[in-house]
Amino acid sequence: MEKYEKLEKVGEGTYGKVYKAREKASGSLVALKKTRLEMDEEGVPPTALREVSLLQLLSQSIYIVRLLSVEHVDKVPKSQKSSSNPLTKPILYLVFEYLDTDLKKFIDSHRKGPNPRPLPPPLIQSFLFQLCKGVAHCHSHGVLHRDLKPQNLLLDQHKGILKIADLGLGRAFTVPLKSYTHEIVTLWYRAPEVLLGSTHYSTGVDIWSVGCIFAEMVRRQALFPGDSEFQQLIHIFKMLGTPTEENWPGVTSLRDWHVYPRWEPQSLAKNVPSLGPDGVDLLSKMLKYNPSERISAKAALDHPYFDSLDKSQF
Amino acid sequence: MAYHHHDHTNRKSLLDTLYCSEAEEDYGHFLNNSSPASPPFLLQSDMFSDEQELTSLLGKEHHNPLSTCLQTNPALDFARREAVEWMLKVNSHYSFSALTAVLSVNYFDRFLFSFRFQNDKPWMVQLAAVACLSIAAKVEETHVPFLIDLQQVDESRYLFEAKTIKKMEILVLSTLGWKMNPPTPLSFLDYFTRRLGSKDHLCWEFLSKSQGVLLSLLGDSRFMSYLPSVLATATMMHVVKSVEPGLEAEYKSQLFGILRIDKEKPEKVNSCCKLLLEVWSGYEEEEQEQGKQCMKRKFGIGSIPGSPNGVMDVSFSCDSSSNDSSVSSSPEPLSKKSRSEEQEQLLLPNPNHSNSDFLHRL
Repeated sequence: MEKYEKLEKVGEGTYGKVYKAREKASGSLVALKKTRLEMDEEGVPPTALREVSLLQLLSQSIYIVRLLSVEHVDKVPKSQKSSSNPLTKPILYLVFEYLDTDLKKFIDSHRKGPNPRPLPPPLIQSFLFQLCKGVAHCHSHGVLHRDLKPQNLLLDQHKGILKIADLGLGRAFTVPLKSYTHEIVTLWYRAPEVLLGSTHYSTGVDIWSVGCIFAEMVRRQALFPGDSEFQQLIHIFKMLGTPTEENWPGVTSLRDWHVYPRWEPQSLAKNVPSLGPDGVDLLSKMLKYNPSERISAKAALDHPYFDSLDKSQF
Repeated sequence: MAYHHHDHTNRKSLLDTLYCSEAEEDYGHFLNNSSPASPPFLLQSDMFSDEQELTSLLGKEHHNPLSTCLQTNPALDFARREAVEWMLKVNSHYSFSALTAVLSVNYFDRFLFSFRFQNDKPWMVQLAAVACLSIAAKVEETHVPFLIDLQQVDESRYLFEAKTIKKMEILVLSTLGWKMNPPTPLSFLDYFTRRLGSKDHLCWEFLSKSQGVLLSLLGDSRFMSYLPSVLATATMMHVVKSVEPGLEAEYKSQLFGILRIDKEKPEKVNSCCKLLLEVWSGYEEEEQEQGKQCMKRKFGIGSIPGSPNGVMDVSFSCDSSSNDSSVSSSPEPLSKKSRSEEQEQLLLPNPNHSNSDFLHRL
């Protein structure tokens, strides 16, 4: 790790601290994601394992953050330095390309601070297109991200580029679909099938998250800001209406389904007032209750909402 | 492509014939889900860019050169078979998926080829097997047992501490360049199933039978010389042939079309089919001779001799190995101790036996 000079701590990842650093030889900036292995008696953490292996699989897309290398270091603690046979602390560093901000910080900077203003519609359109490109790339390689949220979307502000990061909760999926854990995705971006206890979920969980992120870019605040799983469902039901067997066959058989109050769906357009009809249509297709009716990332790229976008730059 | 020449009805009739309820063709034990209700299939037909995905899979696949090495090194082949047998038993014990089994063996074989094992440290092969299975389970499974529990299936000859396995995991991962999602025969099986477009029980039945056949071949190093796409194709053809021989030719053209089997590949597929048939016939003969339960119902390839009590004095090196990494000390074999003593040895530091320099190069 002598190759890198740590500059500052920039955050906490799924399993350790993240540092901004400079590669001494080239002078280029990198992000170092630190994983302390001695914390885990059960070997290399599955999150680190999955993140690295999935990034290896997806690295050819410019819409996925680039993993440059994996460095393994045996650090000798200060207390052990004089020992002839010191006990070392194994540490893994994941070395990523460095991007200067993320979508959450970017949205926050437009909502509060000295100059609150909406995100420019062409920028929302561009970011959403890049996000759909990245998600389509994941899905076409059989990978579910499962933790899409503004904090995990890194931005290069100068170039206007968005990249998906943090695949610590990602996993390769199979055909037929296996049973997966339902402890996934930050609450606000979690799909209703997951909230209702389904473990046979698929790519629709990522599309729901994309829809929530789309609305958040337009509104500059979260669409469904629940503080518990129950409250999260209530937020969704109040806006989109309580799901029924008619619009979502099988919903009442899901593990955590209860008899909920019957709310009628509100107008989605009223909740994203600055979004045009094409945008509202795309959003409604991303937020369909029935996961099998939800638009796919690949189909979303061809939606009329993106017709005015110069796609040649992507 | 051949696929486009068959309409949906024809595809359906091809699959209809694959349904078989005969007990002797039951491969259900190979899978962790033997319930009759088929799990949900992917519904969005445009989720995968078919051609792009296949191009990517074909571009990344390669066979393991270890197969050549094993032909000239029976001791290494034996050690490999024993390790694979153990991995499959653990896989079955914990009801891990077929993919976990295939991945663990894939990691193990790639590592075995790249790493030079020392002939005075036979426990290294077992340690590598534990690490590879642990990695595969972490990559693929929702619930992963503790490392201590993983090792206590089938009375392993050696038990390793978690920190020892952790070091071996890192060695395996770095040796394999952290490439944990390689194309396997199951990748092509999945791809073909999706291209058929069927989401019903028949498709699940076909998939499960094909997976069962594939798992039964993992222990036989002769199949390592075939590319994953070739092995997958041969397996699917074998399943069709065993259920409905009359449809073999029609199915073959459809299969070859979808998986782009052309140039020198058809010969390889035929050669693989021939070997598969030979192996399968061997199972049936053994069943008749010994009056035992059908070998189809077992993981692994035939019965592998039990572990010798002493340390095997065999060379685990191979001319084509590319890594001279060595290991400096071995854990004590625990085969003669009671289970409680084994636990104690693992959990308490032994003042007479230092492991601090174990896998020191890490």
